[in-house]
Amino acid sequence: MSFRRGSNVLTLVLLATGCRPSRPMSGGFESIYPRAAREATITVEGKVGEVPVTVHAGPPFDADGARRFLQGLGSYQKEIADDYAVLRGSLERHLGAELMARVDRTAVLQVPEFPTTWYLLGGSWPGAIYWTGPKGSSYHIVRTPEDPVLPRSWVRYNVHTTTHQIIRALGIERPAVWPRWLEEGLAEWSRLQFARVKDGKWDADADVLARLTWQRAAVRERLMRWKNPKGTGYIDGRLEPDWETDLLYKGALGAVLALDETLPGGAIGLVKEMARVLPDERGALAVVEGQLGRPLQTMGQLAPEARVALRESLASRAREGELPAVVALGQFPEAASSSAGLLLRVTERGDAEAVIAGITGLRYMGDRRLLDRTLKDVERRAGPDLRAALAADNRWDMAVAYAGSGREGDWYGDSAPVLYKGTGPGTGRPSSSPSTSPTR
Amino acid sequence: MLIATLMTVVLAAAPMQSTTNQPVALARGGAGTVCHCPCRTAYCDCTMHTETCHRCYSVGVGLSRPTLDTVLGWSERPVLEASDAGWFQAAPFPEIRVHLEGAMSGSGTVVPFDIRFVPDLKIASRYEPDEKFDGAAYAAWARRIDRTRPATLSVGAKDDPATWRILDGDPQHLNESLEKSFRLVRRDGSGVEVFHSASTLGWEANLYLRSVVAGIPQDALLEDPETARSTLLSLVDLVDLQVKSGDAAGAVRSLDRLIESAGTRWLDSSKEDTTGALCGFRKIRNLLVPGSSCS
Repeated sequence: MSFRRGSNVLTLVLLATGCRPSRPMSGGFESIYPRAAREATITVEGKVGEVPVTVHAGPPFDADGARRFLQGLGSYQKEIADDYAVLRGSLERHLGAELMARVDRTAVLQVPEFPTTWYLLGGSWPGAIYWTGPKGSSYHIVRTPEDPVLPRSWVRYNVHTTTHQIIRALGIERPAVWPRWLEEGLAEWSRLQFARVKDGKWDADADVLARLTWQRAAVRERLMRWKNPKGTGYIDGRLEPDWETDLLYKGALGAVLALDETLPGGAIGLVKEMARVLPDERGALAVVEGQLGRPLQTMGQLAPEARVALRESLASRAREGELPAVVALGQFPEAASSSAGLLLRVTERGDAEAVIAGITGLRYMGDRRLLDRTLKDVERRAGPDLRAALAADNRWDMAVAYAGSGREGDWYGDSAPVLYKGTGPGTGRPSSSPSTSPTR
Repeated sequence: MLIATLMTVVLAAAPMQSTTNQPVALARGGAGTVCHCPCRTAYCDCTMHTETCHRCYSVGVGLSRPTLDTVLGWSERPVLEASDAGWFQAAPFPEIRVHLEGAMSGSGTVVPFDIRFVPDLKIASRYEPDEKFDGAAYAAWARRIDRTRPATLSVGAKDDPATWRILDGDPQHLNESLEKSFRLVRRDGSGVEVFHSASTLGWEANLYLRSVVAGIPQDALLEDPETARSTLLSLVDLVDLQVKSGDAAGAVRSLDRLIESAGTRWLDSSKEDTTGALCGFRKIRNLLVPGSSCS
């Protein structure tokens, strides 16, 4: 596929985030630092709170712009501190003092030190994808006039990873290692809860998609085989195909959402119980099912008639142009023949978001050959702008990767491989911190 | 101060048993009842709701040190002021029960203190301690608490979904935070927020519907009770997912189906609880289609 390899920015962000948790990551800044040092010739100094800060600014910013930027950094610092306060406050309230003490043995909830050197840059900085530069420094790039002149807190993007670390910290003598589906599901659930508190709005589209994903028997079966490495406790999402883990993340979230709704003590009650008994991965399922009083696989399933009604509801929304409904329709493979036409029509719309929604729905549906044909059709029709937009979107990449995977027919078939691939010391594969948040 | 804390956490519901079948109270809470408590979510909340939720009342929520300091250091008669998102309206809580537990300095013995708040008849949205409140006793209790040790607050309040209103009628608000807040206010009008809930109205509605289904006793269910309950819950899930996907009209249709199938197939109409359950379903329908409540 000709635009298979665009700038897979989100993937890179994931990698960067995964390598150095709890603080924003450097995304190739070292390699562009010499250029930044050359161009950022304006220097202003001041304080943010009590911290002395130096700002180096380059075109189009002048000294006044750099000064205003410096003055505005206080609100950035406050937003980060507030975000950490939300995380801590919520945990304190719900975990209780004993479990919080375990978390506080680590630095996971400590507000990172504020960078003392800032680079305020404008225009194109290829390779610069995140917010920090060399140690103690950070940079902010205003690429277009629409970009915010001040950085926004990155904490929301770290909540998923932070949750992994919190879970690990709940172990008394060694990191707690829970089943991968539960850990990833809780991490995603935590990310959504944080966003709700911060934005005042629930990501209902993500909720619906996750719940539908969990209802697919093949996804549930594969989730149960999703291994969590022991010992180092490291998970490396880089070695798992994005198109595959995308569904697993969503299925895991769906499981936790259903657990939260079903269990008397909710998801938090389950976390407390898990922390109390600290089972290994095998024992964990018994704890979960002990609380449920029935097999995990039976939880969160819509009755067939309700499922039909929901599909009709989503199809109606999709026909009205609601793109989240288009994507969600892909989670009804039993009705592929009736939904595929609608999804294909959506891909024929000219805008990138519609194309992405349509092909994502097709990917979820699982017919690789239909997806492959559709991708080729889209490519053939696409003008330069659409091609550029699609190439920069990791959801397009996931569709391309799945279509080119060589798998015949439904991904959910028996031919799918075991997902776990060992990482970390002794495996010959690099390891990172617990996996980062899925993309979209 | 207690107050404060009070809200700080969860307004879960103290079990308030209704003496009628009018489910303002869907007053469940008998032995074996599944409790769906709104105070269990990670970043939350517990809005005041759910009369089914006495487990929260007994469990309580840990108080952060700043909140504990605020509560224990409050020197005035505690007065609570409530607020919600501008698009939302609900009737005042008839009462709010606060249960504080702290460890005594020295002995470490955990000693509780209870306060019951009732609406201030003169100022809307305010609550004041009832006539049994003894300020001196509270102050004495607060002085003895060791602030370095864990303390918990549990709150119970009865919330009636029949009074919930989306003021502009836009169902999109269902996925938005209620921004429920309680502040301890001083005589001079200043105050300290002691409770904030960002739970969404849709979440509250779903929780209520699930509580209704969970609260139906086995003997009110027809055919196979497990099948009956899981079918009703599946319809509740359908309503929830339709609300989340923005299909309010579909959610109303599904609620109608829930009410119809519960009334004609799954519930024993001779049972008092059936009336209560159907009324509970209609209260949520009323949220989407005002004027369709059971009362």
